[in-house]
Amino acid sequence: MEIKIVTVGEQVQEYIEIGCHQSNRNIAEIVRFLKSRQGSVDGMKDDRQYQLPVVDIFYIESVDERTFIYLEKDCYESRKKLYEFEEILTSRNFARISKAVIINLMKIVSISPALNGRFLCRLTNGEEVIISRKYVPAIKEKLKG
Amino acid sequence: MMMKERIREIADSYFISVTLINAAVFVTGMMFRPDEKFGYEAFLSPLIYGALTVIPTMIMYSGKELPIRQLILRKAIQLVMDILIVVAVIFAGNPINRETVTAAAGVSVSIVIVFAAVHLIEWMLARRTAKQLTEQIAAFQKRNSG
Repeated sequence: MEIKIVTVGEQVQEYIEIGCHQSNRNIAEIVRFLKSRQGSVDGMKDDRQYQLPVVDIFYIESVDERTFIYLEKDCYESRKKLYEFEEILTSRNFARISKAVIINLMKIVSISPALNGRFLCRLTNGEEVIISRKYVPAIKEKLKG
Repeated sequence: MMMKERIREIADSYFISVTLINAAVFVTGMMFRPDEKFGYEAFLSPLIYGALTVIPTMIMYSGKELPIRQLILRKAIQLVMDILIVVAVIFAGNPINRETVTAAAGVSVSIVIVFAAVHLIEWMLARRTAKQLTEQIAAFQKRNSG
């Protein structure tokens, strides 16, 4: 397999491209490794611990003092509190959208008004999550940054 | 919800209400007392009625994020309170006769219409905010993708 490294200008986003005949386990492993290099968090599922790449997280929710990490299809539990995730992830592309939820802004497709004065954000996996009005100004600030 | 945001929300609701009350007073006045003449003090009445309808909003306010069913119930109570307050202020001291009851019914219907219109306008403003947010998110994603 040939490995190419291309230098791109400052104005272009850095990227990694894999050219392959078809995606297989090796490719999936490389992708997992690359994602983990961008940061990961611990998550538990069925008594097993997993390293979850931050870029794969859709949102993190606190329910009855338990914290859950939602990926595209799966849900993992974490021992960390929501405020701890907030401290770690706000420097990344995450934002608090309600008292109980921190969301990955990169996973939002659209936002629409909800009946009760709140907003509803639709994610790339089709899920919908509520945004509290209280957090809208902070989200706007984050988006400007 | 922060106090500043709450005050802004009430102020938005108040000014939308005042505008719509003006229109409602015009329509109901033309229907029930088209020949009635007023002095300059009449310009105050939409402001006063608007302020009166803010009272139930403040009473029914909840800092918690209410489920839809509870929210609808609170809105319904708020509407009934709006009608009772405004009708009581307008018709207090009037003899209860057919004309008063008809006029009170007309005022009540116009309050329901104004109430619904205020919420519709608020929803349209929220839709605009949602659209702006969606555009800002798309720009943010474009900046940070890769």
